Amino acid sequence: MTKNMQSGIFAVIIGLAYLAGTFKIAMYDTGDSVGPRSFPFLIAAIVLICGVALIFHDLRAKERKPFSWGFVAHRVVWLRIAATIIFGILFGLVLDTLGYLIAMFLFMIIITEMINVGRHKQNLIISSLFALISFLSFAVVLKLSLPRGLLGGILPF
Amino acid sequence: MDTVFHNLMLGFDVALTPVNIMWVFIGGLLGTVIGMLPGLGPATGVAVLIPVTYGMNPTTALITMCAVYYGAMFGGSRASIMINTPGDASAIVSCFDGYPMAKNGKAGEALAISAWASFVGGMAGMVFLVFLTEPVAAMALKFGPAEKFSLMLFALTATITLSEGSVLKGFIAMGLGLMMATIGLDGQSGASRFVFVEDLQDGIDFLVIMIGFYAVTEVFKNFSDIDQQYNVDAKSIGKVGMSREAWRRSFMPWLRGSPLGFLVGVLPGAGGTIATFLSYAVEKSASKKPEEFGKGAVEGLAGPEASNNACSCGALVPLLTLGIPGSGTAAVMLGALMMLGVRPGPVLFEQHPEVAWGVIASMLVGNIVLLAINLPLAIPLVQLLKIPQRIMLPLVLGMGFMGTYFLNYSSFDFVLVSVSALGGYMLGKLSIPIPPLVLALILGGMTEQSYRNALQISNGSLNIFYEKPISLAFLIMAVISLVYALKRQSTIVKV
Repeated sequence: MTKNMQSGIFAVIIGLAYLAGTFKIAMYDTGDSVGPRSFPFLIAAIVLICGVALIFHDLRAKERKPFSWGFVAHRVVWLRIAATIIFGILFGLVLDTLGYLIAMFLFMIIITEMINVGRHKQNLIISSLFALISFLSFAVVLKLSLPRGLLGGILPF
Repeated sequence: MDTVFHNLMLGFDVALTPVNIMWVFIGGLLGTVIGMLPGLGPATGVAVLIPVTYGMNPTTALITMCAVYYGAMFGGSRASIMINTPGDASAIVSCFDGYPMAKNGKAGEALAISAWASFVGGMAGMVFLVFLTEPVAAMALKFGPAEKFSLMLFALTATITLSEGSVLKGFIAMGLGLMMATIGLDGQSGASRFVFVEDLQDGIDFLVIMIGFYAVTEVFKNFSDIDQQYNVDAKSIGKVGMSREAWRRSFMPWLRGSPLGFLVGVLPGAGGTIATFLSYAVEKSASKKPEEFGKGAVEGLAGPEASNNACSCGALVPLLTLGIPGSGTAAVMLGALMMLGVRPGPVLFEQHPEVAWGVIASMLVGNIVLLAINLPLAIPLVQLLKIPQRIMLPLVLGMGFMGTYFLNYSSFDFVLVSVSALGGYMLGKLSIPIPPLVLALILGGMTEQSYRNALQISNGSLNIFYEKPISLAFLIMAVISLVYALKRQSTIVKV
């Protein structure tokens, strides 16, 4: 499938899902003659029309170059992306419990080990310094609220 | 004229405080470094440095972000000249003649031409900005809902028209942005719209999406290139300065490139890339020796560089006067400002002239500061190009995720930033442009509000949009940009 075809199908699916969601919006009589559904209907119509037009445009095209996401050929890149997303979300989940310093250090060490492969000492230094300097800059100097978590009672600053 | 002078003096009172001068310097330096690094443009720079502005007052925050912005514009061409790899898309043109100059043993001169051209372009752009903002803001104050809706419609269509790639995909991107903007409680009726999880009740914080698109997605794009390392030989740079011949050959390109870049910058969606390519084309056609272009012509570097920096000033006109960002970087700045409780637009000039004029004055100061940074520090700065991607990328990710937390202190934002980063990466793979999506996300709420208010005034009649002359003018401009885009579409088949 070509890039345009995939984009068109994606737009149609999103457009239909959004249209379905639009029907679920409750209507209240608040004196607003237009209502909360009208604008979303317009948006759904634009996306659906463009999606269908893109599909037809592609079907009529003389040259149709297949498009691959490269899940196999570039699997290392995709694995890195997946790992960043997973550990990014996990970072958010454990931040309050572990505290900023520990959570950020763990996040950075995982990311650096994944990107800066095999340079453990360098990664350890980068991760510790990043966590410490950013904590000192924001929590101590700029006095912004950052969770202290497990180290709450130990931190001198 | 007196009013402009008075306002500018007010601005200098604000800009010349020690704290603001310090942040102009820090922001400019950080921006230069980030703009210089391949793959990380000004939007990424501003997005990852947003946390730096937390705790600042809005004026200092805006001054810092502007300094990062034009610092990145100064720095963008360093990598183009030294390693033939642009720091961002608007620095591509600097590779054409900057790199050949470096190869011919004139790296120092190329760096100096680039710094001086950026300075001249920036200063000229600032002069245009000073004289244009007040009348535009005064005119915008008279806009009613119909005019505002038509203006935003024009901004959105212009962004689609001027974005790279297929027009249909541009509209799909705009639709996606508008869809995201409608999530949350409806401001007028209180109806809940597309709220799948409780955390979406207040809508999507577009700054989270910006960090996803402009910081994390950029790192994802660089994942295939993490072993890239550039060799920069400091000894081969030579003296960083311009010869008399270079001054002579740069003068006219600066004069032509600056107004051209500024005008392009004012148009929503038309960023530095278009400005620099246009300027390059103008210089080549104006030259008596066009055959020298691509082989190290001074004009091919001086014109586009001036144009690029003037363009960044132009992009601030719609941002400051209308609240409409003219570029991706301006969009990120708008988001950060709204978070700090400042809403750029005509009211800003009326209610907080010290903020608006303080920023403008700080940019004049900043241009001088940046010239002072970029000329003597040119050699040590380009040494930073030696930092490998495998070290830079984790730092950008760390800054991005840290900044996300500071926005709302919500763990759900990490889901949003991750999903938007993945979305940005996949949309990029499908050649669906990001700028229309971002602009629609930012303007979506205001567009809908203006649309509904206008229809309420007219009792549901659409006539209101073309009965008002200013609204009609914007609609005509929107139609013209659409016709232009469709004509372009019919001649160029984008895949």
